[in-house]
Amino acid sequence: MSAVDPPVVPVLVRGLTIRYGTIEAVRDVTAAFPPGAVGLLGRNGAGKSSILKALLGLVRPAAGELTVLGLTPSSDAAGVRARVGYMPERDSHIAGLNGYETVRLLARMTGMPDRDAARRAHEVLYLVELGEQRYRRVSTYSAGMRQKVKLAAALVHDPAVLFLDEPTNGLDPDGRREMLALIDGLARALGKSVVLSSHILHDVERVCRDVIVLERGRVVASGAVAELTRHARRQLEVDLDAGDGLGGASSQIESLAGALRAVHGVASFEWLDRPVARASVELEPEMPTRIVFAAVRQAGGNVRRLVERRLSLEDVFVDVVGRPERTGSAEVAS
Amino acid sequence: MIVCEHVSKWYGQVSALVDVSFQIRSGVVGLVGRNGAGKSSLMKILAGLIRPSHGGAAVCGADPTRAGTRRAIGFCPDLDVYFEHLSGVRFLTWMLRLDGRPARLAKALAGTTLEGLGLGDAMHRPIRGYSKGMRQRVKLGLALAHEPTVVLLDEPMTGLDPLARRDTAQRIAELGARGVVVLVSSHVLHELEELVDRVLLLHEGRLVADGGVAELRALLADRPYRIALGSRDVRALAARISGLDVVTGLRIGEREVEVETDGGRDLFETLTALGAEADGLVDEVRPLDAGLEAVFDYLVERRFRRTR
Amino acid sequence: MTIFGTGYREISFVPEPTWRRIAPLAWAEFRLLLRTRLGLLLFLGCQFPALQGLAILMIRAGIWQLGGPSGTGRERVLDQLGASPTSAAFYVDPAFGAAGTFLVALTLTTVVASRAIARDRETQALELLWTRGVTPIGYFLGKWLGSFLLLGVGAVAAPLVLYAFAWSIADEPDFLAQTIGFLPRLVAGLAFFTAAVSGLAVAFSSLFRSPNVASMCWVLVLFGADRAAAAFERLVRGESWLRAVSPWDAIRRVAEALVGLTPRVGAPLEVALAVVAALGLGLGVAVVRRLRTTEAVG
Repeated sequence: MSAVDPPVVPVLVRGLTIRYGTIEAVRDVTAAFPPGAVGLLGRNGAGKSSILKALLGLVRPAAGELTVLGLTPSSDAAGVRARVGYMPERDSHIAGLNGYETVRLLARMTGMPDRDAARRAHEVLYLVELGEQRYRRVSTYSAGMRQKVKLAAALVHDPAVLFLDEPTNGLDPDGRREMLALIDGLARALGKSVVLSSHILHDVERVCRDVIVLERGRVVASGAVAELTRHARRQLEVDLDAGDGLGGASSQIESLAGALRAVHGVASFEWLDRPVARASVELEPEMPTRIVFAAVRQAGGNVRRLVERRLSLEDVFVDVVGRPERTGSAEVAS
Repeated sequence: MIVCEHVSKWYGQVSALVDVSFQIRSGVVGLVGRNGAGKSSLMKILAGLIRPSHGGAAVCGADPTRAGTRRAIGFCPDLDVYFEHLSGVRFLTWMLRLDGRPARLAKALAGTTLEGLGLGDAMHRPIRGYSKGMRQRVKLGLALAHEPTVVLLDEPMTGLDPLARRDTAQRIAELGARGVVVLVSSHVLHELEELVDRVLLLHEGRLVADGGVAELRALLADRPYRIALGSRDVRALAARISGLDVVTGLRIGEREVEVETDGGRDLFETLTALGAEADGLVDEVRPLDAGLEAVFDYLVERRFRRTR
Repeated sequence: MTIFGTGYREISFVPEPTWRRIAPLAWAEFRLLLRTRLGLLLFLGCQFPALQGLAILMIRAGIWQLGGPSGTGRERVLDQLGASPTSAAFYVDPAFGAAGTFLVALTLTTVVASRAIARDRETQALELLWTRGVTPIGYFLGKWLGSFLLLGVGAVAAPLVLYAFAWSIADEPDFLAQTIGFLPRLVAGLAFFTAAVSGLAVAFSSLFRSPNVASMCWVLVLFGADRAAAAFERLVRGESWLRAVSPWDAIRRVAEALVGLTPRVGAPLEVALAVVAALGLGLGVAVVRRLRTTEAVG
């Protein structure tokens, strides 16, 4: 089964340049999308959809090489599209059709024989939990249901690669979690290659192991999320409970802070909800976590939370893509 | 500033809001709930666009449907409808003039508002060429240009890219700091959590929670806390804590032990001691359900699970 | 392998050739009008000319007694019924000969064909369809075929059913021998008429973003040109070619020539052909230029 297939790189982009007239939408992009879930990030107009278009064989690149599962989209678009499931960002539906007919029609558009398409449409609609609503017209669906029907259509022909463009748009917290769980299952349990494009970086962090960040048609960062979000020095965030009610808490926490400072640098120290305070501790690489526990214990408090501080993907994104002040002038409508 | 007293709203036989009461005096307040929980209805009632079927809403001490009151309200709806051929600045000027500002003042105000929102270059181009983020900012401009004292934002982040999201969050925080009352709804809970100091949670038309996230979590006393403990020796760690009274559940993973506890201090004392005892026995203490997302889940229990 | 217990199944299939994908598109397009009760009523109403033909056949055969049993009254009625079932003109009537057929074709193309592509553009279905294995041309053909079928029920199938019916009840023993000669030309003429009207309407719809605007413009163009042609004819007597200004009449003229009828439209065949060809070419170029794959992804 595909989960244990040898790891080949399913989607490869080498030296890709895409021009629309004189506008260069994508400039010399080289990227490998490893198996599993990969986040394709960038602002509006950064070139994400242009790359997807090229990978689906909808635009002919001005230069560069593309491979999707060993096929070249520009010469074998139909072959590529039969193996790729694409879920568009835009709120698209086919007028008049119900959910079941939509998915079945789209399955046939990828070349599925009708008998397979009919059966499979039911299956994927149940998979995305639209089974009961499948005979309702898509135009009467809520935003979340429309997202699901698009995902069902993307899955109907059992593609090896999925391009999902803003799949959590318009979903409420439950819907978004379900969608993310589904994507995670597809990538992890079934070994599908998922290219996830999203503005909600928190979602990307949850399901993607790797990301590729685009800005103005170029790759400005790529790699494993865990690598990108690692601090140069080891930083811990520690929530301390000073204990013993509110009365003595203040002095107690002072001694706690003192104890921590004595061992190593405390970057910041703030009260959360007395008697709990949050400290940010920076450790030298060779220092074990144990000494933090020891210091807190010695001062008579206890640790309620201790996590390694990481940059959020958003921090990384802002860092590589630019400062917020620049957003106004640089933004181009896609 | 915002007062709702026993507000209910029906559309025909469908009830959107059921007996919702709350007060907001100041600050940035979040409004969360599933699709169809009544958020938009509540926003529209506060913006004076519709009247409650029962009960009363007041903004700045007055009826929001009155024109005088509405001037103090800035509303950013979740629709995406404009006069596409107008430029951003013309559109906003026009809206401000409809609001009763003299032409020149309206134009100046529109210009400075959009510049402040980072649309300085684009504001003279027609709206139809705008990206989603730019359109969203025009809408934000529409809510803010007349310097309202109460701002209602319905899903202001939808479709924005990460930079624009951060930017919008900053602007909302600034509004709050200036003493403007802001009510903002969002589905992206972790984002909202960082922005607001109080949350209103609507579920099936009812207000099921009102308060700060930590406060609400503490109120859910029947819910055990779940904590993940990172360790290089999960078996040893599990053996050492499984005997504690406060531990109600334990799951051993590859590099983590997941503990369920009723929140007693004993566990933390033991953990601190264990952490201090040997290298790598406890590497990480990570609460799994302290955030708004967990609170939301617990409150909006999916007992009668339906697909929306 | 299963995830979430809902049973994701891996499947394998041999993709069908691209042309096979046209049929489901056409079928969806054909069914669109018949999905709503109002649409179904409208469609049935549009079958009125065929029912008229059926009524005439029944009166002729005496199945339906009109004007009393006395012979003289029946003769008078028969005289007023127009073409005889042994002539091709009789079967052309339900498609584009009889009064009201213009309205039928106009209605059916307006509610479906002239909106076809604009509708998909509005709901952004192009993105769903073109990112699959269907090319813009295949897509256009599917839409065309669907509209052809919709219009063809009344304009191709119904006349042939009438023919079969007429044969089964014919008094003349040599009915088949008399009529079989014009059958291929009749089918060709009807098919051309239906294809031309539906094709032009679908191509027309590719020019627009909004289906409402598209169908409004379609009515204006088709109806307006018809009225203009009529007005020209009245103003400038003797210049009968002006009649071909109306696409409807031009198509009708060509179709009549194909069937081999004496033309009811006065315009010369060459002018009519030129108008149809120019329209087809112009809209064809527009279709190719408008339906670009780059449109598919936002």
